[in-house]
Amino acid sequence: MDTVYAILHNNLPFLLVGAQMTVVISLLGALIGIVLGLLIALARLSPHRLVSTPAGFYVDIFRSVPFIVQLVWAFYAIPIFTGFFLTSLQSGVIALGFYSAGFFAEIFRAGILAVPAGEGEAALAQGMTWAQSQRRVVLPIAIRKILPPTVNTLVVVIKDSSVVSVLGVGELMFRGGSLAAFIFRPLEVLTVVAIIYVLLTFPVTLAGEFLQRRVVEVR
Amino acid sequence: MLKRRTDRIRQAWSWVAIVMALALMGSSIGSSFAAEDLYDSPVVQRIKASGKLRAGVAQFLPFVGLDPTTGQHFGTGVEIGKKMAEKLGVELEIVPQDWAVIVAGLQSGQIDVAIAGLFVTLERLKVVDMYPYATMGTCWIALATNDKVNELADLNNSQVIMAQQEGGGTYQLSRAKYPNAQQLARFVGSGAEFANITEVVSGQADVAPFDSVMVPVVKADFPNLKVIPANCPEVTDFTAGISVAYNKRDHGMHQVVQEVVAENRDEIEANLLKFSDVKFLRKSQ
Repeated sequence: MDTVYAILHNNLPFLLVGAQMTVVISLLGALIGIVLGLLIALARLSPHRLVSTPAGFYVDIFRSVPFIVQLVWAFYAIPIFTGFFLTSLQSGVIALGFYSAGFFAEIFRAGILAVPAGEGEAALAQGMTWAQSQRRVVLPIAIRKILPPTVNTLVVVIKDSSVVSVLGVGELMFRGGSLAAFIFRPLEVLTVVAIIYVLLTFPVTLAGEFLQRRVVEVR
Repeated sequence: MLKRRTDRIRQAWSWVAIVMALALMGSSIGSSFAAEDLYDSPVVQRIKASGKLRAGVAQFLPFVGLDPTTGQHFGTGVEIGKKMAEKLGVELEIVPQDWAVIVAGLQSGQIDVAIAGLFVTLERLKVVDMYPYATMGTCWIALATNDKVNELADLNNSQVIMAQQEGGGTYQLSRAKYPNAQQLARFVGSGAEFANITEVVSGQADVAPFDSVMVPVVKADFPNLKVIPANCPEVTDFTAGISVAYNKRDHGMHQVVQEVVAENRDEIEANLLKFSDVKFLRKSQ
């Protein structure tokens, strides 16, 4: 405990800079994941096979390949094949976004499918286009069903951002590893890092519960 | 008569002047050819065009460390990187990497040179070129209470578990020297020494390699560990060259590294001592 306290006392600013980077990577990665995931979910629900089949492949591939492999591909393999370079931060954010999009897509698709078909049909019968029926009727109902697993996946995205340390991005896990390498106290440092991760993810969980209560009240 | 003699003297001096002028021209042409040939490779041209030398680093004290008080990288390798950038007339950009992929960083062009302090091994030499600037001995750490291992001769035993870092130079050397020992290789990322200590302290492994120059720090921080051989760093297990790595057949980079190392030998030695000093490393803790 003394060592944990000493680590906190001597090195907290160093670790908090890493925590800031974790927040940045997670936010940007989640944003990409949610937007892309929603598009892929809608594509999967499309009646046109030319649209739904590639979307299905995307989900299968990006959910099956380990994130660390996707990261290494983004940073090292793409330059070799295309000559196009991404920085480690860009690779990390984009890879995290594309990876999480596979999971968000399935969450959104399941949420949309859970909406009774009659709701969408009624909207179409009212004269709405398919896109309008999705946006104005189906999606608001689906959000209630989507919210809990989405919050869960956001927490997972924050934790998965630690894998980006493999590329040397100065986020929390990288800084924790660097500090452990500097003072040779890995268990104590990782304990402190774990506490910081809990402090980062707990508000997300609380926010999710708050939103869910608001949505239930509104309904 | 006098006029003829004067003319001859004037002619002689004219020839001297012409020869001197030709000699001067020749040396400037030669030196400009030499300047064009110096450090000439596609990678060096790219570096000069971008104005940045992207140097890959992975944590390995005393060659590369990250100071938690300043957030800046330091170490012998970093100082060499600065000298290389100075020589090329560009800025040094430190690009943190992981040990398992630092060679991939060179091959993909994400970094121009690796100053992480890589061990020279045959496996690495198959894919990159390396120029050594120091030698490092390896010693082993074990729990003081572990009677299975007391000397180097005890290590080549099927009952001994050695903790290693996947992709690390010591792992490759250990497999060759201690074929009977069980090798527990993990993908642990930068700063493998800290993981090695954990492996031993937790009982996952009997021994773990540790770089000889850092052994005094381990002895100061961990009185519950012993070092094999006991008189490390005076006596060590295998030694390896610590090197700068660059792309295969990158003659330009080779020349830069060669010159920097030759011109800064004393400073390199002094830096090795400075960046492995317990007082220096522990001043912020």
